[in-house]
Amino acid sequence: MEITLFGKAEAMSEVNHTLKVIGGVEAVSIFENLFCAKEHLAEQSSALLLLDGDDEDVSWQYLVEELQGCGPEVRIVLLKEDSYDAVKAYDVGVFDYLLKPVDEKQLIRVMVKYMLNQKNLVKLEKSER
Amino acid sequence: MNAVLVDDEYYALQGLKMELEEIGDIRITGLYEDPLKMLDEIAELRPDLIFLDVEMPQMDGFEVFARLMEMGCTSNVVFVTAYTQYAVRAFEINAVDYIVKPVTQARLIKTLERSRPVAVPVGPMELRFNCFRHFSIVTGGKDINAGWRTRKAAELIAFLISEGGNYTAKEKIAEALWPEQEGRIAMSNLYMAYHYINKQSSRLGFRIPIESERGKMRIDLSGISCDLLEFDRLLGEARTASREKRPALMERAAALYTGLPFEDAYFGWTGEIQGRYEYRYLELLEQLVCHFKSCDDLQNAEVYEKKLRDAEMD
Repeated sequence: MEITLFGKAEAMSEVNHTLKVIGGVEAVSIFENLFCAKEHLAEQSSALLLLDGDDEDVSWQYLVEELQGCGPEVRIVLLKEDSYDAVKAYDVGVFDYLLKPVDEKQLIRVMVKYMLNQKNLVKLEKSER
Repeated sequence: MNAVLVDDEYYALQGLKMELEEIGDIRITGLYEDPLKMLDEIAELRPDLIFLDVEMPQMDGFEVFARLMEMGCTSNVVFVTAYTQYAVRAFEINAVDYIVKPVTQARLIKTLERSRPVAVPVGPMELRFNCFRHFSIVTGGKDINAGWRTRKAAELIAFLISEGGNYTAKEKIAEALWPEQEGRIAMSNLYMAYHYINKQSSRLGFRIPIESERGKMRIDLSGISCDLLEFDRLLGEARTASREKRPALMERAAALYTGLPFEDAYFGWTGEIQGRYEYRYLELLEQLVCHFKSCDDLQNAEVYEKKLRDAEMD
């Protein structure tokens, strides 16, 4: 399983550490630059992307819109310090919403949800055949 | 899709039912003011979706959700509530959506789109690229090329076809399509065009087989019919065919040529490919004239002589 992180390095270091503790993640790519992240996602058939939603320089809604445009299989998980934007996150089709500091169990839940989601897509492809 | 609605307020229930039915493509199989009654009957109903209120006197929506899970229910659950504070909790239990009242049709449409399995088009597709003179992409008898929101989508596809299915450096593509733009912006435009094509074609149920790898891009032309490739194939076959079969192959190739490649589109980079195919076509016509003259078929010779004159005049 590969995971992409988007946000400033200091904001993502903690979740990156939690991912290492959990294990089972083959590759973690960290991006601060939107253009580079989009280029990376364009080359993936599917992706689980953890996005820092507390960057004061750019709105998370803008980032979600830009990153969702990279393909229907990009699943974005919003990381926020508070719960105020959770309804909005549902509205714009964010895959999941995690409160900081990210709880290990919740992160595992999201990873499992993503894997099941991918499995269902494969099942669907097969049934369409 | 089948859906069950649960809300202790009668008018909220009826309102939601009405909105969903107006959208269509969904069948309401149960309306419940009492969640306990719904839990009793859910095993028989087996809905795809359950719209569930959160604050209800008999049992709150999260308790109902937990009971559904205990019962092995696999329906997707959408919370519909007047309160915003439960949304994180809804994420934590993997609720498929969370809608704040008053419910609008536009918001419900989003919910239904998310709940419906997304079909990824697979298997063989009938896709035809016509490149001589007027550039069209035909699938299911329809020209889809006119439907792109941006002209650059068609131009990107055309450029990759002109590269014959080979990988081409993204910088080269970006420079050809956006020559007036600075490199980084041109590259960003290229990605946008690429994503737009993928998104739009997936939405319409087909796939333009563009492959993007680190630093390079190509279109996979295997299994796709394309008049340029067909023209080249026929010329190749004619070169090695017997004297009897050769003229028929050459005539078939000549019939495909209706004008310069992408002539009507006025793309900025087509000079080289147009020159190449024009040269091949003129050479082909000369060979056909010679062939028909050598077998005293003056009628056919005249036809190809006229085509040759017309092509040279253009």
